[in-house]
Amino acid sequence: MVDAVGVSKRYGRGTNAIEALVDVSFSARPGEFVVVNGPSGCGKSTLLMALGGMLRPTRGSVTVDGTDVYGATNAERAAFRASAIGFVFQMFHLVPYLSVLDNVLLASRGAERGRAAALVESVGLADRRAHRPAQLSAGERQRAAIARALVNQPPVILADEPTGSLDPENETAVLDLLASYHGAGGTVVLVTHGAAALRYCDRNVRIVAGRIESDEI
Amino acid sequence: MHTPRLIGQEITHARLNTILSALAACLAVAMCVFLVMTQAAARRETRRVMRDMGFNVRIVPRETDAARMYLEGYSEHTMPFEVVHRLAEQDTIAYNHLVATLQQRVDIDGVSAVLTGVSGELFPPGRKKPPMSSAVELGTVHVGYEVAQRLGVRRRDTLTVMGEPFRVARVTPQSGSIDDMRVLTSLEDAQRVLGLIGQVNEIKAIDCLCLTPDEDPQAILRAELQRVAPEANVYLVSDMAEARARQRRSTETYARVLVPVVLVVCAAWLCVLSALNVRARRGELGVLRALGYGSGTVVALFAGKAALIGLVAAAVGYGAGTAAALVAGPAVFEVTAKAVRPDGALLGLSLLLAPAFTLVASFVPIVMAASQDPAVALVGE
Repeated sequence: MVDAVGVSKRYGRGTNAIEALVDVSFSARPGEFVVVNGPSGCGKSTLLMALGGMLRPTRGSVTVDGTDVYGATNAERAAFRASAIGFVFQMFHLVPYLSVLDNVLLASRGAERGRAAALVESVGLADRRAHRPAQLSAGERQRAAIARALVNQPPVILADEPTGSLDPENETAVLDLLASYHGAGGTVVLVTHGAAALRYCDRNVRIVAGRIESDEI
Repeated sequence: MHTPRLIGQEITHARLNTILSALAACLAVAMCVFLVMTQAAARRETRRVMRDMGFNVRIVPRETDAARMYLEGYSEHTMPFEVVHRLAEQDTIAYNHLVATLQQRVDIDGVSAVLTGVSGELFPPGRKKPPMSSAVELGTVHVGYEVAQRLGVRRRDTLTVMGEPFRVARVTPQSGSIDDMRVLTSLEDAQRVLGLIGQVNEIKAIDCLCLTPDEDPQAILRAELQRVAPEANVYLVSDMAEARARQRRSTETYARVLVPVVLVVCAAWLCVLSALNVRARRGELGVLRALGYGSGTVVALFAGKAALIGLVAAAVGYGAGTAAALVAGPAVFEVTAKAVRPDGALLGLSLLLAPAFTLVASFVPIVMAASQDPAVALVGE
């Protein structure tokens, strides 16, 4: 389903170059919940961005659901991201001038307003749907971001430190939402340097210094 | 979610940036509208002031002795009146306000005066202007202040000139020049009284040359005259002509310098604000790309906002510039105050050019936004 083969990513040039990923091969089967962890700066987020078609690797290939992500044109890759991937970020990245519902609709590209509203309700924000991100708590913002990631019913969710800014109570709520999506057959690749997500995952991949150090079930 | 709605929502969210951007564009439009409106008035004002200074071109018979003409004030030779018509029929000559005159010193009851017959003004095709000089009706005279004082004549009196009676239509106010010693008649009356039917000894005109300082207007005018009326010669009253050209140049230079300065400053202001807006929205841009929106959408978001700001600035700036011109214009341009008036065509032009201006000013930030690496934006935030 998600397949990265021999992926390397170098930032910068010459003596200042940083090898963020070195010959990483990674895969996630359909319906799998994979946690990628490791220390800060080890290349976890770079791998996630590469998997999501957001960051072209220096070497290697990425295939998602049979699509060669970086063999596609920019427009095709954009369409692929819209339909196949749901992103969740540590800093939420909700559009500040849109309401919760509009943020979800922003991702929907024509999905019914009713479905978006139902999703907002399902993440516990029914009474917050007209609020702007600045009027929400951190946990509420992340739940809104998860609703946005789910609105197109993508087969894969890529989550980059989604609980990194949350207190334990909200951390659990967010992980429960992702587990619920996984329980319905979705694939989740979650990057974290914490331990809480480990109890939800099928596999735990550890990256250190741009290389996969371990891959445990 | 449609792009126009996103633009609208972002504008209401980033109010300060939007207002400051609109202010810059508004200032540029207002300054341009103000300058265009007042420049038109300034040009008219210059024309009027220069016109009031009098004619600056003297066309006289070729055989005229210049030294004698300067001493006497007129040429002792004459040329056919038909020459003025020939000149007026040319649409390429650089003279306007052509007036034929016939002058001669005469004795009126022991007072020496200059009898001056003047024709009506003639204009080259398509260049008709309001006349500069007042016409003298047949059978009447305008008597110069000094002549009137010495002869003791007043308006409506009868003055006999070379045996022919004329009604005094006007006594001209004191001018402190040779004009105080003139007796003005119509050209026909002067020709008849002086026995020079169909003859004139000078054609006065205003040159319409807008030259740079290194060009020689007299040479240009002579070349033109040689082609049309070889029997005549032209003299330029250079101090008047230069004053006229200088005034015109300074007015135009003022606008030529000020407009680009204002536009560049406002464009830089817009560019900085647009770049700040792009920077502030890095995360949002990254998310849009992550959600599958292409760079076209990003360009549309920023270009749409810039164009909208331009449109609003065009309307508000036109109003502000027009109001400023209407308030300040009449105080600055007293002679042509009524000429400062709203120009609908300027509004249309503003609505067309202001969005183009804001788009050009925001071009670099828009390209920055479109080419921004979404991953860097999202991970770096």
